Amino acid sequence: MNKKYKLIFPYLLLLPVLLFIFGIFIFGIVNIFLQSFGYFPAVGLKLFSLRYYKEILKDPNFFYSLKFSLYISFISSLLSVILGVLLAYLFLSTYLNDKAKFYNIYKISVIVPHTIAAFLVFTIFSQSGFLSRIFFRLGFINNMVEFYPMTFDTKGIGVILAYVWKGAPFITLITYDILKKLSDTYSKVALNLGANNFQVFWYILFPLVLPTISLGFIILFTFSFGAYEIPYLLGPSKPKALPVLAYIYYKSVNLKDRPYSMVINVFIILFSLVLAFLYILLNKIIKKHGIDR
Amino acid sequence: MSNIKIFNVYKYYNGRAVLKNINLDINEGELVVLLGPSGSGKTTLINGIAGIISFENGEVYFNKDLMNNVPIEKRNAALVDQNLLLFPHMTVYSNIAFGLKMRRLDKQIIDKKVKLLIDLMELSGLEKKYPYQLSGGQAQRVAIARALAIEPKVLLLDEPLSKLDKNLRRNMQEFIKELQKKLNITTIMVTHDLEEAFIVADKIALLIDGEIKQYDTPANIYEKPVSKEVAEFFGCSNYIYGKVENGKFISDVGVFDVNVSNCQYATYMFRPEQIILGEKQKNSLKACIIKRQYLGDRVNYIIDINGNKLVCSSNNKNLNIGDIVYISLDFDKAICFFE
Repeated sequence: MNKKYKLIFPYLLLLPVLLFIFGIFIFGIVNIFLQSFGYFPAVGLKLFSLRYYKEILKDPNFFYSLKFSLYISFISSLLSVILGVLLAYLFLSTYLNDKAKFYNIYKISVIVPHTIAAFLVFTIFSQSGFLSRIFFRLGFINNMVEFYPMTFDTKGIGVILAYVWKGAPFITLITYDILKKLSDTYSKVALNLGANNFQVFWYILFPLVLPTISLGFIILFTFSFGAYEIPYLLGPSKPKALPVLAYIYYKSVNLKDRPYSMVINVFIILFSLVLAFLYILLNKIIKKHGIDR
Repeated sequence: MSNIKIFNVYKYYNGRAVLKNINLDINEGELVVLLGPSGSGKTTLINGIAGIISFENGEVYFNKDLMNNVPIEKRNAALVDQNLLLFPHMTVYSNIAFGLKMRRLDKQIIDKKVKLLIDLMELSGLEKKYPYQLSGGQAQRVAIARALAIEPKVLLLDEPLSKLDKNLRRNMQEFIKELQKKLNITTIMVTHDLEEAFIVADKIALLIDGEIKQYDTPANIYEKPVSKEVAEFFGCSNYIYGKVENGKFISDVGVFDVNVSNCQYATYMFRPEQIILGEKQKNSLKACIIKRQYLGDRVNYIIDINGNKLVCSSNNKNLNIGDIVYISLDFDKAICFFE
């Protein structure tokens, strides 16, 4: 094998996978941008224009949807992070891992698909759901309609619940090992220097695990901001989450509505890029401080 | 500062005793080195003194206070781990101030103490640096400063220099020794490096297989080992086996005048440097060089005397394999083990 061939050999091996991944990805992105500027020859749109951007930016529904998407993404990610870290700390402080393996059960919700999570939330928390029936049987409510609406509601409670059910264990999963490692090392040093358990958590564990938590937050936020299944299945009809709005434009029988969908997608992509940049920045901070993820 | 007393300490892991009947009496202001091979229980012992682990049996006293049930954060026994474990998200200043901040001391007092330590540890100008920006020696000094900031009753150093290169290590050994004497702080240091132990220690506790085999000054532990096991830990030793009758040690190597009472089985131990190579004299023995090990500043010669192999260390580098030499053995300086 000559030197030149040796150099390109690894890239040749990677080529099929790279073609598959980037081919689809780049083709999709380019298509989205072209269509968002009104270039969609299949339906006779052949002129580039900013018209669709202007119309979307003038549409109050777009901003309602943007606000709603930001709201559910932020609240669900924040709650997931808080609950996930608390759960990880609980596992750590009680040393459940040494005594029983059943605690691994929390990982199940990480692998369950989002549509199943939506179904579970609907089955338990909807006005005709399990919880409502229990309340009715116990006489807390006279009619199941009296049960506080937690699905299809404008506060997005059902959507948030589904995301938290999926997100909190994910945060536990990515923070537990780090907390354990930190606890075995830096916590002992802090205790040795006279810190109490709260001080150890607040001054040592929390700041050290914060970059990882932030990474987890960004991942959850980006996902929930861009995903449409759960808001589509559990969200209100108005305001709609941004991806749902894009989906509805996309599925419109009038194919000339397609550019509106693509404009919304462009905004979701841009937002995701900002978050990806933050992700990279945080990764650098983690590496700089020598904290392994 | 405290004197430290350890009585009858035992520690078990999975039913196996890793510390057995440990007894130590450390005077205030002393620097004691726990020396021993890897896995001998040194770190377990120091962790137990710090309160990181508990002992199954035995008592640990700081002055007259029993520490067994005192939690780690209340012991005031500052431990510097071999990995240093400086908090990576804190600057040098914050790392040193950490213990004081946890005690909720006044900010001005903290500032004053930290600045004092920064001067003492020669860390000026590094206050705002993060651990990843420090060299090995600087990080080492920060870790020690952080431990000293809380004015511990005892300073515990667990192989603190193990990750430094040789030159830096030598400098830090002297630095630790001087600092310890200046502050007069009771210090226990773990190492498996003989040279380091001799340089810094007031006393050495030699741990082998979880037992303290000898606890003595560096000079005594080297020159007057209580057992062959201890002697062998401190390097190559030569043993001459024989018996003592009427003030004469009778062995295969020769018959020598000694000052001990009769014994059927006696062993004399000579360090390589205690076997003197030289010209033929009245009591010298004839030997033949069978092997030569060049060590830079000296040469180890393995010599044969009447079928017995001895190792002697000499500055004379001009001798070669096959050369006939004459050696002198000073039995007054040799260690005698009776069996």
